Order: sequence, then C-alpha cells, then structure tokens
Amino acid sequence: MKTELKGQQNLKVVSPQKIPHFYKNGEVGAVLDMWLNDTKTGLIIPDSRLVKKSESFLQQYLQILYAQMKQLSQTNPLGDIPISNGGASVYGTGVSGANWVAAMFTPTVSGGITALLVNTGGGDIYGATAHIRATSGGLPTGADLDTATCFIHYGGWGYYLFGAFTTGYVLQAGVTYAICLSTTGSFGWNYVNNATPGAGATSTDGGSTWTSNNTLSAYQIAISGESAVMDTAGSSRCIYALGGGGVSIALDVLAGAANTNFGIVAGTDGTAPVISDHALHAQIAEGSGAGQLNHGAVAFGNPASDSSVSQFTITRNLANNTANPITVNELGLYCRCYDYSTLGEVVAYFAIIRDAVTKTIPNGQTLTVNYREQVSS
Amino acid sequence: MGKLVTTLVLERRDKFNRVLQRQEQLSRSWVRHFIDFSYIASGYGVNTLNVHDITGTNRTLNAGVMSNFQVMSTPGQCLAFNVNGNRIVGEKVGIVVGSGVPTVTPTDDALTTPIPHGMLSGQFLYGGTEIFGLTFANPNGSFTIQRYFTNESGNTITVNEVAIYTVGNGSSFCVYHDAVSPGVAVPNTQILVVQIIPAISI
Repeated sequence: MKTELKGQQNLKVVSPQKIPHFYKNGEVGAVLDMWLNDTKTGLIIPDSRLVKKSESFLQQYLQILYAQMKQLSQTNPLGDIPISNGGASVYGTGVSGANWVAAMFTPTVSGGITALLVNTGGGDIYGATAHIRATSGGLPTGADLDTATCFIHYGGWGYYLFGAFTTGYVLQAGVTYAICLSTTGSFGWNYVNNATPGAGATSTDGGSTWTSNNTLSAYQIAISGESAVMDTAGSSRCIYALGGGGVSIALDVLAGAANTNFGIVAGTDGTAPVISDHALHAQIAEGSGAGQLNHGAVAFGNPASDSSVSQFTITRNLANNTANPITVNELGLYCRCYDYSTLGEVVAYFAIIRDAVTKTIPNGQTLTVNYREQVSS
Repeated sequence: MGKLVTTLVLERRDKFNRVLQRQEQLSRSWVRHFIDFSYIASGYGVNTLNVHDITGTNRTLNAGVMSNFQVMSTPGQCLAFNVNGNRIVGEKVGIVVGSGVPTVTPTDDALTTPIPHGMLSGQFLYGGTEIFGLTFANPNGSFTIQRYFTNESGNTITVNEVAIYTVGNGSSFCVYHDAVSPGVAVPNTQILVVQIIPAISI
C-alpha cells in the first residue's frame, strides 16, 4: 500500500512512499509521519522525513470511543454514571435570598461532581447556586467545597441541571456531604412521589446556621465516572454522543487554518507522554510572532487498505514564518465533542494523541505532520 | 505501547450461570470499516464514504446521517433503530456470532455464517449488548463489551467466529471480525458469554 499524503486536499500526492506496518494483527494504532518542506516552493527538504509509531492513544480516546459505542446521550446524560439518589416528601421547599435549603447525600464512589440535577417547582432557578459542603451532626458545615450555577432546564419536567463545578473537589465514597441551594430569586425545591425522604436542612441566614428538616428534596448527583472526560483546558466534562440519525462530531479533528483548539497541534515540552495527559504541556500558539507557528487547515488522506492493514491519514502543515528556528518537542491530536455540562450544545476539546518528538523547523520552512490511524487484521 | 489491543473472551456456562469453560485469545481483527467510521467521525461535515453494510450493499455514510459507532444494543428481535425507514433489530447490532470458519481479511463486511436469533435449530437467543467497566491505571485503560447467547434450540451450536456490528444511516456495518480458535461448542440449554475488551497502553 502506498501513502496518499497531501498538504491540502487540492494538492497532489506528495510522498507516495510505502508505509511501514507497525502493528500486529488485531492492533489499532497511529503512525506519525512528518517532514520539512520549503514554505514558498513546497519542495521537501532532503532527509527530513521521520516515521515512527505514535506513543499514544491517551485516555480520552478510549473514553470517547466508549461514549460513542454506548451512545451516552444528551436525553439521559446521567443515566450511566454512578448516582446518589435523594428522596423527598415536601412540595416546593422555598429557596430565596437568605433562605437556603440543603439535602444530604453519601456518594458510593469517590470522584469529582460532573452534574447535579434537581427537581423544582419553578421560579428563578436560573439564578440558583449549588454549594457542596461537608456535614457535621447531620447538618451542613464549613465553607463551600465546590459550587456550580444552574444553566439549563432539562426535559420539560421541572428538572434543572447544574454543571461545571468550579473547584473539582473530589468527594470521598462513604462520606456524607450536603447539597445547599441558594438563589438570587426564588423557587421551590420539589419532592418526587414515592421517593424515600432524605435527610435535609433549612437555613434562614444565608447558609450560616442550619435546622434539620428531613422532608426534603429531589435530586440526582453524578460523580465523575465513565462519561467524565478531561478537556484540553483541564476541566472535567461529561460528553455525549448523538444518535438516531442525528449528527455527531465526536473525534472531529477537522480544524480550519489558524485554529489551534483542535486538529494536529504542536508544543515545546518533550516530557514523555502518560495515559492521563489531557493536553500538550506547552502548546505553540498560532501566529508569526516569536515562538509561534502558522497552522494550516487540517486535511485527510482517504481510507485505504491492503491485504493486512487499513488506514487513513490526518495532515496539517505547521509553517514557521518567524525570524528564528522553532523546535517542536511534542505533537498532539485534539478532537472536539459535545459536552452537556455547560449550556446547550457546545463543543469541548479533547487530546486523544500526544507524542514526544523533536524536530526543529527553520524559519521559512513548514513541518508537515501526518497522523495515520491504522488497524491490522 | 502506543496502541489499542483487544482481548476476546468466551465463557460457556450452564443454565445456572456456572462457568464450564473459559477461552481467552488476543483479537486479530478490527477490520476496514473501523477505519471508515473513524474517518467519518474525524471529518465532521466533510468526509463522506461509500461503505458496504453487512448485506454487501453500498451505503453512503457521512457525519450528518449516521448514528456512528453504536455497539450497545437491544436483545434479539427488539427494534434497536428505525432510521430512514430501515428497521434494525438487536441481533444486527453489537456482538454477533457465527458458525463459519473464516479467514478474516480487512475488507470483511459480515460474519461468514451468522447464527440468527431464535429458538429453532442452529439459533441462539441473543441478549442485549452491554458496555461497561471503563477503567484506567497508567499506563493502561480498558472497557468491556459483552453479550449473552442462550441455546434453547435443542441441539449443540458451535461458534467459530465473532463480530461487532455497528450502526450508520439505518444500516449495520461490521467493524470487527475474529475467528474463534478452537471453536466453542454450546450444548442445548447452555449459555455463551462473549466479552470483547479493548485496551490501550502508552
């Protein structure tokens, strides 16, 4: 099988050389293939080509593949995550101003909070804040361990979703915590019919002191689990896959020119990759200023196969239009997916490959980077 | 290092779910359509391919019309999807098994000889395909795809091949096809549990 490598989709194949088969039967991997060329003429610089087996996939790749195969969905975003269920028996326990309401919960797994769903009777839920606090004697105590604001009305049944908890506090399994709700407006924290009443409390002084009230309120809380994926900014996200004929952008790497949020990206830190890397360690910015690279649009080589290997190629040109050489010590492949832990259908970016590799790009030259995903069978 | 490796496990159990036989082998074959689906998912809105479904029919796939890579499935004949007027039942999605003795190639579109869902001779009752157990411990990570097959056909059924079918644009596509060696014979009333465990390492 020959390569089908192009700097851009409208260009001719530039390197029709035979591709080494790096993987045994049954293995899936990526081959990193790169070379330098003159930015003006496009001519390949002799002896500049480097072909090697990629050192990754990173953790996020398997998580996204998992979400896709399982079709973790927006319509049931909490469905497959370990959930602590709260009970309730009182309709519309009031939350307003200094009147806070709390419900106790004891997670069965340790982890950060990826989402909180509460059942309300309407009102100004959009001004609500969820405060996670420790407990003592069955009541909330101390300062906030973590907070999140409400952003979305979910499903049309009076459920409201919180997400993007700010500190990423790690809850411990078997320890009892409190969900305390406050708001700038007012709303009622509802019950669920037939639910077991849970331990709760109310406060009339803005969460400073609490009174036990074991007739509270419906919630579901998701502890970071199988669908919580670390994005390139270091935030834990709950991704979902769209199905049933809808669109899906999971694993999308098709970044346009100058977009460094996803696609093939480069950095200067050559620290060896580990499975939990969620981003390049020192990403090179877009531009022609000192230490910057101009990122071309991502392009593809079409899928192809021979008697044992199937593959396709992702390509990007990184042009050094500065006055000095730039040494690339790490390369990565970022993709974008949907994330439900922020408002609406927004995208989040995830690193799926990171490689430590050293290549100096002289000024006036372009590094063409190819990641070629292969399966061998 | 730097790859995804998959383990195929077959367990034969009695009707009380006691394990009678366990067979584990390294998988040999994610096939061409795995790359096709990865290509589609990697180029949202641009990449389009004509891909053979499990019947060998050419289907056009793009990110706008595909429910890509779904493997979790309903049991047997339960309706899994109804996309573009095409009804796909559970036995055409997820882990599927066959009795043929295949020579697997990258361009395989389907099992050589599928074992259908049912209680007639040569048929298994297909459970749903489950996906679970996503875990990471540097430098490794893995999850499990699992399906139960119950033999109520009255006769022994021998499984010689395993595949994963996924969904796109109202059709099923084969992304994985492995020969089971040696084949596993499942007597009447017994259960076959198939696990496929993709794992990455860095």
